[in-house]
Amino acid sequence: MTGDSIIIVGGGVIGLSIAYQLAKDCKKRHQKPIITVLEARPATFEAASSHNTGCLHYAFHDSFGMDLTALGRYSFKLWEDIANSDSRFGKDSGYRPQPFFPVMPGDGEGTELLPDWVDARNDWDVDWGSKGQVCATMYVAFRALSVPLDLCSSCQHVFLTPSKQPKRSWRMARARMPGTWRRNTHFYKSNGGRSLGRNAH
Amino acid sequence: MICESQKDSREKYSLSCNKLVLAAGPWTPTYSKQLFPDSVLNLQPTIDAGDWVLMENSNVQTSKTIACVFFDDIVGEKLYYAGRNDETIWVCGQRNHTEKLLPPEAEHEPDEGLISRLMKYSQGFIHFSEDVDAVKSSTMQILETGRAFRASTASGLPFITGVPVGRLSPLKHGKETGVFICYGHGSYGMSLGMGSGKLMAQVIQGVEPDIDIAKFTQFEDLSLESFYCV
Repeated sequence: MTGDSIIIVGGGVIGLSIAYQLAKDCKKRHQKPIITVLEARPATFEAASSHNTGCLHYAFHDSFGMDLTALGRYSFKLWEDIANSDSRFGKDSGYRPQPFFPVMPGDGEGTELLPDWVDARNDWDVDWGSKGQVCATMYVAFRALSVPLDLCSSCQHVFLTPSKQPKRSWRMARARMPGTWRRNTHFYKSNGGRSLGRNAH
Repeated sequence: MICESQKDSREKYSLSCNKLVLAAGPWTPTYSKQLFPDSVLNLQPTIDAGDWVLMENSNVQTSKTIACVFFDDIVGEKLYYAGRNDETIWVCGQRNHTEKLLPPEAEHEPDEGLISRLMKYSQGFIHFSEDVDAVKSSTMQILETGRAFRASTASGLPFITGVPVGRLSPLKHGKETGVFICYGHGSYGMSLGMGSGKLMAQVIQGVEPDIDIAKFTQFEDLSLESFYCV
């Protein structure tokens, strides 16, 4: 892989997970490919629905769910391992196992499990057991998975759309990844700083 | 590959690479067609949209704050909340299967009616701390609203695969293209993301994937050996 130039189009959870795993593997093998993540939005995760929920599970109830279970379990374990092996990542991402609470009509059973921000009613039940065993959540988007690119020697993350205003997502995009990073991690913005045009050729 | 900046300037930049991974969510089919006009990739895209509201959580953070609460059985439609560790609560409702996918750089405006419904639900279900409770309905602090698109395939299964030469151009033959696709995770992008990322990375490196990915290499006549990049 040393000498390879790999471009990943897409700076969402899929693209960044690929970059992260590639960089991690390459570091382990002392390989130094150039990995570039291209993102059309001004920040990572902006287009993702899950940048908000962060729900993780492998209980897929769709008709094709069985075909996804192995991948889901495998992926769930990887997230869990990252959260448990890096306390800073776990804290930053807010990783919490078994946080799903389905609410249904009832007589108040299980409502004490609900978070404080829910106005719990005594005519609800919480069926925690139906989803509770195979789920977790994290607010991973901005904090924990934005720049996985320090793990090999030459990585970059390119935003193709200029930022309009300083945004939380942009600041968060500089947050920490599992393991060490920042060295040789470069950000490019079209409207200031180092532009793609000056540096990419 | 030519990358074109999308808004303020129309500059074009050339980036060279020997491996290219398409992992752009719902825009993956568009990019694959732009980059490889002669390709015969059939990514079977199906798109749905989800409109969401992000509101301030005025309650004190506790060990129970981070949680996902589902109200589908209460309201008779999809409705779920996520409390996060940054003093916010996020809520999303039913999926919209008719909205047209806009370019990635466009602002994706949510449906006003749906947003209003989400806010009405929130006034009934969300607890606000004492200092704002007295004027609950008018003090719910909406921080942001938005729309997200989710891309699936007709089968519901994602692609985690290299692209054989014959798929990029019917006229060319060979063993490998150096082009890879990781696409079609639907609403399970986060759940399947890290696993898909690792498997895709293994395919790119030419090593045996940790789990069987045959179901995610849905091109006909595909054999893993044909696109391993050693």
